[in-house]
Parts: sequence; structure tokens; C-alpha cells
Amino acid sequence: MHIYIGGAHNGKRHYVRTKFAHEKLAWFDGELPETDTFINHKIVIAGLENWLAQTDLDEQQAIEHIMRVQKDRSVIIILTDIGRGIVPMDADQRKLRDTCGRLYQRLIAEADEVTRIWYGLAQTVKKRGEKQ
Amino acid sequence: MVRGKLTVIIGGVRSGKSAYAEKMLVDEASHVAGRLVYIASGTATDAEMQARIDRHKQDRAEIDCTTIEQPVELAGVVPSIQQGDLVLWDCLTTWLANELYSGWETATPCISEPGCMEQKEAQLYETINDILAKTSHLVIVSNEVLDELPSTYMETRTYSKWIGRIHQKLVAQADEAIEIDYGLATDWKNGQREVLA
Repeated sequence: MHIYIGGAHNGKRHYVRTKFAHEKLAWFDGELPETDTFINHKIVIAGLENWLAQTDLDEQQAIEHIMRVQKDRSVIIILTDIGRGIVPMDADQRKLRDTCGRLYQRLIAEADEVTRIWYGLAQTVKKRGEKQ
Repeated sequence: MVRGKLTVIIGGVRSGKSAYAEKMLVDEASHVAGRLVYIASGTATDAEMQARIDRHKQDRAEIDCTTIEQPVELAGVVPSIQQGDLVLWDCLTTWLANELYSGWETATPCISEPGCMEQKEAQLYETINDILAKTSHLVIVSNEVLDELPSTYMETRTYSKWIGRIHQKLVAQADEAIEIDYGLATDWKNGQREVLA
């Protein structure tokens, strides 16, 4: 699993689209690849915060579900950095940030590679097999 | 004609980005010829903002520099720029807010006029090139505002989209693209890191 993470409107999708221009990509934006179709594709999952905002699963179930869906597949996950704004008044909005944050920690811990995107430029944050 | 160097500095509120930018140009001015020119885009909309502007002015008082107040229409500064000037523009984020809401007095703010901001964006890139054709170094300071969930307010989301798009474009063009965070200045173009004093 390879994670691309960065702030909103930083060019993450564009970067992935360009870098993997010669591969077959199957995009899931705000939804998850629930079935085993697209076997010959690299799966790209984006907008997990939108999926989290609408799921009926509780936090633990939701996180486990995402971990299951990405397991043993060639997956790219695009994460929008959400942790440095003002904490909102609205309780649901606060909860969504908390859940996102915990999910991100879990995904980043499991990822083989993590790349940060900053306004179109990339920096490797983690790569399995390489000294940190 | 040699094109001047373009540096883009992006950092969070109170990250020390203005001080870092000022120091960069003051150091440079000490060993090259050329005026220090400061383009200020903030406008005093309330007492706190006035105090903020005064604080920035005070910080610059010991520096020998020429200040140009230019809240909108950056192109207006071009005639005042001289060959070899060292220019600091602080900051892109306030300029963008000023431009998006210019025209609000007549109930036609740019933000709600189709194609308006697209035109201003194109004009901005042209102006930056015009400035670079004269100056030896242009430093643009901007705020990091995109590390949070999209706002529930439509106009804030529009602002976010524009600041992200302009940041990407300027970072791509820049010779140095510096992120200020955690007391560190990181140049994404050459990997250099510097601890802020």
C-alpha cells in the first residue's frame, strides 16, 4: 500500500494520475472497492473522509473495514491532511476529524510507502526496507 | 536580460515566515547593490489588523526599505520597481482575499462573477514575470491554510481552491520553494533545511 498525503488542493490526485499514467488505474473517490473486480488495475482510493462521514459503521468497524478492503491488493491511498485547522464547534465535525486522524495513523503504520505532496512536489516520508 | 530569482515562502500563521523572508533579503542587500522594496497587501479592516500592520511596520523600521501599499492589482507596483531591486511581497493570502471581495461595495464581488478570478490569476502571473524581469530577487510570502477538512462555507471553499491552485503554480515556477513549519525552513527545491533562529 502506497499513501500520498498532503493538504487540500495541493495537487495529490494530479500527481498520482501523472506518475501512473501508463498503468491501468481504477479510482474510488469517497467509496471503497468492495468487490474483487479490477484485478489487473492499480486501485486508487481517495476521499476517505467523505466515506467516513456517510458510513453507518462505528469508528472501530469503519477502520477495520478499510484495512480489510486494502489488504493484499495493489492500492494507492490519497489522504487529505486535516489535522491543523481550528477545532469546530459542531460535535459531528469534531468526531470526523478524530476518526480520520486515527484511521490515518493506522494506515500510515501499515503502509509500505508514504509520500507527502506539497503543492505538486513530492517527498518520501517512509519506505519499507529503507532506513528511516 | 537575466530573470530575477523567485522564492516562495509558505508557512502557518505566526510561524515566523515574514521575519525569515525579511532576513533573507536584508542579508542579501548587505552584499549586492539594490533597494529593498516591500510590497504590503494587508488592509486595516479593524483595530487588531491595524495593530498587526503596525507591528510589521515596526519590525521593518530598522531596515532601510521602500514600502509600497498594494492591496489589489499587483500590476500597479511594476512602474515603481527599479532594476536590481530586492522585493518582498507580504502576502499572497491577503491579496487573494482582497481580490476575491473587490467589488463588494457595488454588490458585485469578484468571487461571485464568473471568470473574474481567472482573469486576475492570469494577470498575477504576468505581473510576477514583469517584476522578475527587473528585480534580482522576488520573495513571495503566503499562508498555509489548507491542512484541514474542507470548510462548510462555500466561499471559504472557493478561497481554498484558489490559494491551492496559485500556490502550486508559483511553487512550480520558483527557484526556491520554502515551507516554514515546526520552527524549520525546508526548501523543497533543493532539500536544504534550516532551523529558525
